[in-house]
Amino acid sequence: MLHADTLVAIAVMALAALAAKGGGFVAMRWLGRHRFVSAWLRHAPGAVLVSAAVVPLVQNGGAYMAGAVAGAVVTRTAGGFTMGLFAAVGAVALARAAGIQ
Amino acid sequence: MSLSARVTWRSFRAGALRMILPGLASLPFGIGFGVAAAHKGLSTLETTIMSFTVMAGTAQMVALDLWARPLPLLALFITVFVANLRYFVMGAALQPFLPQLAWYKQPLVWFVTVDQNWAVNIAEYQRGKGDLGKFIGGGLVMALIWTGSTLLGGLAANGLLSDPNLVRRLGLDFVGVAVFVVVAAMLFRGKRDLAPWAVAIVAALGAKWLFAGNWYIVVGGMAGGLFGAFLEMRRGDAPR
Repeated sequence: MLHADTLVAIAVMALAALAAKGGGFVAMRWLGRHRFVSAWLRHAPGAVLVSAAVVPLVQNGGAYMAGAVAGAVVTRTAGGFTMGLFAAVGAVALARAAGIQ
Repeated sequence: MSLSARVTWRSFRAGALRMILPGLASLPFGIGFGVAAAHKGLSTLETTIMSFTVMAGTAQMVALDLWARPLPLLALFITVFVANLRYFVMGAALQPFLPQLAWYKQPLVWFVTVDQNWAVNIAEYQRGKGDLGKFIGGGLVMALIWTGSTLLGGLAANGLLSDPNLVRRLGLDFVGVAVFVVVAAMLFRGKRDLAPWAVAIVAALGAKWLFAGNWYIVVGGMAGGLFGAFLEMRRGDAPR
């Protein structure tokens, strides 16, 4: 099933993704490498990610916190996205099995 | 250092084949996204269209947090754009290698600029062995695997994983947040990130307290990013 408003939203998202990907490519032709812009671009992705994570973590507590710690530790030690993701989700499942919500 | 903008079937196929394994790494996340999207009310077809056209897993997952009717189009645009800012940097790094690329070919190059595909190909470009066919072939294979995995998740959500209690017991409701945590852990560069991330966290929590909805992601992302840039400029330690 397709909803018109959903398709419009998806088109907006696709445009935003393409703008982000193409923006740097196009901007390099005439913006050059302005230091403040470059510095902001280096910091913004991490800041977005921690902002997106912190609110659900604070709101959900216990099991989510265990999952976040496990995911971060395994990602940094074992290295890699997939291992970290499995560790995070597995830790949440284990925490809930142990009665931690 | 201008590199080949030529695309041949042979190079396209070679690029596609070598990105199959890295693409498969997105399977768990893709399935998780498909399940999460279904629980947000998106149909399997809508999820599939979104995954192929947007092709940015983290941004899609962030956007799901905003998904409530009436759909906030401006917030979705800003959130997806900001969540994809790393691609802005990747695109900027790629441009010097394809300075003469025709304008009508550029959107396809932007589309296939995704983390692992960009990383593998930019390394070859830097060694003088870049090939646009490999870049496009690899990116399209990754798009197909990503889309297929979210389709699987959507189908599972309407069948095996339609029970919210089972989803919760398996920890699958955490997949979205887990992606943010894991990717943040991968990006973490030590002490230089501590203060900007602390600012982002405080700003996000403050914004959540002050504003309805999920503007906290945009507010926290902008605040942390700008603060980090300000610190770098003040210390004068931005890499040249």
